[in-house]
Amino acid sequence: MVLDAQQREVDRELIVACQRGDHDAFAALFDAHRDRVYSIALRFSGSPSVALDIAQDTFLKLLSKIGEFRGEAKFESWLYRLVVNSCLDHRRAGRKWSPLATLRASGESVLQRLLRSEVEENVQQVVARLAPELRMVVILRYTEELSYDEIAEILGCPPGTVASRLNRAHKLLERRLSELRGKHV
Amino acid sequence: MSKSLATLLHEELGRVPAPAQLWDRVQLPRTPRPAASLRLAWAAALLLVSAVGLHAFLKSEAVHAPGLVRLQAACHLCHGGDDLQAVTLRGVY
Repeated sequence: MVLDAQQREVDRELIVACQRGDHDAFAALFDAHRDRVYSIALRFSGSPSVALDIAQDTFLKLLSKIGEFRGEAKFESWLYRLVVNSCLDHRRAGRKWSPLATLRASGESVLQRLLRSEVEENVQQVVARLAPELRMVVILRYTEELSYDEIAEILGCPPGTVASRLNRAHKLLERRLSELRGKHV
Repeated sequence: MSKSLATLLHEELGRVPAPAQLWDRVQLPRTPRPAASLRLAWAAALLLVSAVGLHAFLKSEAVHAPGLVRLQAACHLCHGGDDLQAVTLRGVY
């Protein structure tokens, strides 16, 4: 995965310390992975407040389940599974997310809103409209830059399924982005 | 897929820094709670004290005093002394 061998070794030591109840080790593990977890949650939900909820859930699960981690799988795969499940759990909880509305209502000034890239908004909007299983594959691929095999391992499906989901997502994104561009011309 | 879409997605869906308040929210639920074994020990001790207390009460003279022999000790658990006295006086027992 993206993490190098040195980071993995640091993680391994931190995990062992966490399993002994070392709070500082948990803080260090949190620091090492908070951006990764928050980014996936934000890209999936489109809402900073929901992303905070998801990231919080993920780290609390990590804290409560760290004792169960035996090192058979890679830690980062295990962490990715936790955040993916938290994202899907929040969605199943029936919350209706309206990503753009939420982002715009998050305290931005009129000037900031005007400065926001139209392209960025368009991409966020079309990604938010993807079905959850397609959206998650897109996020793991483009936010986390994971390979098909790595995504398959995290989602528990064959690499071929990942490829077909990405293919469907690309087609939908191309079509919807060109529709949006057409509207703005 | 065109290269431009992949580039666009890489650019627009990149990582973002987590807000500082996330750590506070992860810390917040960490209020110190007694360990499960300690809580179990407390529950067992409470149960034991209640059982001893009830046993002592059932063996006490108040329950077996003349005129109140038929009074069910269990009634004392829910009713005050005045209520039981009133019921006794009305001849229910």
